[in-house]
Amino acid sequence: MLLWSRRLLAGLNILNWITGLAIVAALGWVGFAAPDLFIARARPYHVAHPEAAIAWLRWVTFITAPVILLAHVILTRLIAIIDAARAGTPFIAANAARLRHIAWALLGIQLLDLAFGLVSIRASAATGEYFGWSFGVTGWLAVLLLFVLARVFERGAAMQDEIERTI
Amino acid sequence: MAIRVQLDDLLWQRRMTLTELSERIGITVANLSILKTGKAKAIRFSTLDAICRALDCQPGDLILFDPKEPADED
Repeated sequence: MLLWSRRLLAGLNILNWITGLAIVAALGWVGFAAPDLFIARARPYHVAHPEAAIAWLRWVTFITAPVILLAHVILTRLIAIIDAARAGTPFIAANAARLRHIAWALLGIQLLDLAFGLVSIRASAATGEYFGWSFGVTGWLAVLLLFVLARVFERGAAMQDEIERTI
Repeated sequence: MAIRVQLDDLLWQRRMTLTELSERIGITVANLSILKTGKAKAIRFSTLDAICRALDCQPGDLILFDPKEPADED
């Protein structure tokens, strides 16, 4: 179970980098290198202000890039936690720190999602097209849960240390 | 830590080695060494019982409170 989870997470991390960089490259290329091409393609669809869509693409490029790094932090820390659990030492201070790193990374992703929502709402208003985004509480609850779990792990690690030094 | 373990002194008084004590009470030398060097976090009543029986002493002979030492931060 743990071994398969580890393999899955390692695979997901590779996928994160490949697809993430491809998406950022595509968004960046259209947004910065070939905006005229996008405007020309959008013309038959009667988009009200295509330049607003271009601005949206540029913003989304900046918002998406750090997500790759944050997802990398989440996946690698999870792999390290799994490795510690497989070694028979899940309640260690390092795992508590890893969980806290994951919580901060997820918080970063949530904040970037809010930024994405803001630029999407603005772009929707400017162009009359729907730039899909909706607010969700699941991610925020996950952030809270992870910070709580990190604290629990910290306490667990301290208890484990105490047990190990009880003669 | 203001609590001091006097195991070394007791062993010397009884002319006993840590290995001999370990064999008598069934606790590893490594664990007794942790206790002796003051690195232990806690001591079980069963351990205290076994040591006191083997060394023919009272718990107060083994454990000492030194108010001059700073308190444990944990």
